[in-house]
Amino acid sequence: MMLKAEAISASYGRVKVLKDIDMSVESGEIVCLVGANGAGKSTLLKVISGIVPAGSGKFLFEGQDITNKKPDFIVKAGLSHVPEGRQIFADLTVRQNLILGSYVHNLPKQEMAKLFDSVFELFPVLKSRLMQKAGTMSGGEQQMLAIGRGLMSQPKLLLLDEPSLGLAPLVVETILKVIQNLRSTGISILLVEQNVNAALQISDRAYVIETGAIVTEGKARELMENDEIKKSYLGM
Amino acid sequence: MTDFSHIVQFFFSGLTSGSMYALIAVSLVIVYKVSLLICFAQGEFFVIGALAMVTLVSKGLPMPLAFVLSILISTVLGALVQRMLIKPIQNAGIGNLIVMTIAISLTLRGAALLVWGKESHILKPFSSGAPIPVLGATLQPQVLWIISITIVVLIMIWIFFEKTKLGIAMRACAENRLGASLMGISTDKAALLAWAWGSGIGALAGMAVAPLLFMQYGSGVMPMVKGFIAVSIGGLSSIVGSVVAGLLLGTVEAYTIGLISSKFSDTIVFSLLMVVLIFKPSGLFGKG
Repeated sequence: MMLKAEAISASYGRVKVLKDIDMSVESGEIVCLVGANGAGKSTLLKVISGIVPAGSGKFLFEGQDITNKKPDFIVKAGLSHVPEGRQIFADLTVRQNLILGSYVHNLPKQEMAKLFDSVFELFPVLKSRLMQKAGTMSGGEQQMLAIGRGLMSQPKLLLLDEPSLGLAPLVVETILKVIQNLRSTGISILLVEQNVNAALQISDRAYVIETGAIVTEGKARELMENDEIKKSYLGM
Repeated sequence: MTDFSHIVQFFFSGLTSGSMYALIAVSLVIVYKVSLLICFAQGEFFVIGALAMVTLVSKGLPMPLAFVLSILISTVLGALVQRMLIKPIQNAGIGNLIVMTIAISLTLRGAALLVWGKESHILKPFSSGAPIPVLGATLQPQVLWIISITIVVLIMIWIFFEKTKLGIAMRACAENRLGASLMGISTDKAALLAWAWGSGIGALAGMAVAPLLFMQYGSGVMPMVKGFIAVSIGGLSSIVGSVVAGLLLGTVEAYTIGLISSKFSDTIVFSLLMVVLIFKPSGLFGKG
């Protein structure tokens, strides 16, 4: 078991945004969170990565309790969060952005070079942009940088929040392919994605969240056939 | 009439006060970049650094040791102030935080009055030696120290913020808190470091110019104001801009004093500020 959430609740002030969430990601799985805007998907990712505190419940990451641990502890444990809106450092160069991706590890130069190479293998365009300020790149390139930066911490589990939002179809395809490639290298993925159809196609399992609670879960392929899901999320 | 040697002499005094303003401005920018806060107590670190060095030297410590210790004292003081007075109210809103830095400024000034009294103190120059004649003007050896210290500090800051992981991480905190936190960068630690650095550099400015000025507990007020003007002209988050503006300010001031009258120097400096703010509100090197 990679990640297990047990009865997780969280609030913003008095508003309960997550209610008794039970979910899990198995090792080597792509798991997708499906739900409307404001359902609590992004919040769930933020609670996992220690940005928003959990009110109650427990997260186990490879058996280790990571509930309400500081983000640096969680990143070091092997969990990396590529947030919604990318949140890259626009004023820093691509290279500096990537360096910060492995901030929690003090790696020798050779290992850093290897990590850089593995990121370039996935996103060759970043190599030619290394000394460019990140803010001057296109949206697609910035998303690639955000994912590349997330990979620099050598995660076992990658949390991806809306990686295709606002991108051209061709770029979306590249990103989806990369996600599948990452899984084949042994990285587990928890994915939040507006493009539910595409997300379900590359996922093994999915959870459907409505107003902060999980209402349905199951194999991605089965959920694609579910009438309710078709109507609400796939527009069929 | 003014002859050429005077023009050179004014240039030297402009460079001297300009370096001082530049250093103070840089210390303000460093704190601002990470905490998004102007620390109005920077003038007090300027004074405390200088007076601490005066005391240590008078106790018989060798100059280099007194120099290092005074920087250390100011750095630790800055870090303590951040931890004990700024961090507990960091979510209280920018207005409260600014008032807090003003309160810190007044408190530190009062503390300096208690420790060093009302009288002025003078530090002996970093190296002995006669003034150097240059093109008919004279250059105090201490001015060379001031300029070298400024250059060394600027190079160190550049290397730190461009080349070291910690420095880059501090910039990342300033730019995108959420992004930085997700990388496991502690924004608390970055703010603490920024204050420590800022206080140390502010103190360094005071120590460097102390042999040329009479330093007393209230001497930090005008340099702080001028440093703040330099930051406003240069652009709040631009280190290069604040250095250029600091040197510009010092030079304009020196030539105004020399060629017109010392009565007009503040008028001209503030007019310059107003012109810049009207035509480029974000400062010469600022963005947006």
